[in-house]
Amino acid sequence: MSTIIASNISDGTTSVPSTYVVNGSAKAWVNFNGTSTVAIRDSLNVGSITDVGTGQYRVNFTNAMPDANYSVIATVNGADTGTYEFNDSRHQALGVVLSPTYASVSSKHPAATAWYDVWQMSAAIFS
Amino acid sequence: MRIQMTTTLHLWDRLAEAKSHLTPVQSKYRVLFEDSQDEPAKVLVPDPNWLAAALAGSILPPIDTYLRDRDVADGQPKEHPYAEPIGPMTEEEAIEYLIMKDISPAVWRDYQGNRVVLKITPVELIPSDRSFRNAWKITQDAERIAA
Repeated sequence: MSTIIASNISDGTTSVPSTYVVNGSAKAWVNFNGTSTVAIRDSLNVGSITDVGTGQYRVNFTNAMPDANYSVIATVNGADTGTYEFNDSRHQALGVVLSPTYASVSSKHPAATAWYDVWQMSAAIFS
Repeated sequence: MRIQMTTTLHLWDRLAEAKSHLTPVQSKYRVLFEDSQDEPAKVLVPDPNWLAAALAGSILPPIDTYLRDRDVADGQPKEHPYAEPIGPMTEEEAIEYLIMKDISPAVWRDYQGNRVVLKITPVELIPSDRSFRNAWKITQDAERIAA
């Protein structure tokens, strides 16, 4: 495998620094089933997830982040209906703990105090 | 622009490359563990892309590098992304590797109590009914391995 080192990327008209691509790419992402027997559907740079308890999951990275100052974007789908629920009135995805080696993501029903298992949890990490 | 040939790619690049051509492997196992008396038993779920990389070899770094990196301060260079990758593992070896990487040594190395706090179990023995998920504890019955 070879590595292309370039300062800028151009389509012939518009040019952007290659750092746009590097810094704007997700450094890890995962999509998993948080109900029944928890299982990962697909991912990048994830070694495992830890089922911590109802509605609480930990995403363990293979290649650790440099520090804990990264960003997690998480969405949930509460039921097996194919309908996505982006932080809507039924569920909220909340990142609660960030560590260089893992990110904890949890789902909570806004109307209740308890965490809530979700059929689909998706999380993307930008660093 | 120049093209640079590298011998040891960064771990992230190796993972991205592996994902593009390896078929994901869903593990037959889960790892049950208890790292706090006040919390329910946790379940470690191996990632299918990671397991495919572990079985293929030449992608993941030695587990020692992760253990040494635990002592490296945040923001400082870590050893594991640039370490020479190791060869292929069996699924059992991969699970042991994952335990050491993703579970606290207080559970798998330093624990000296009598209570069983870690079990590798076939996935079909993990309860699929999560009604009482926050009450799960590892059974201490030697004849049973289910949670």
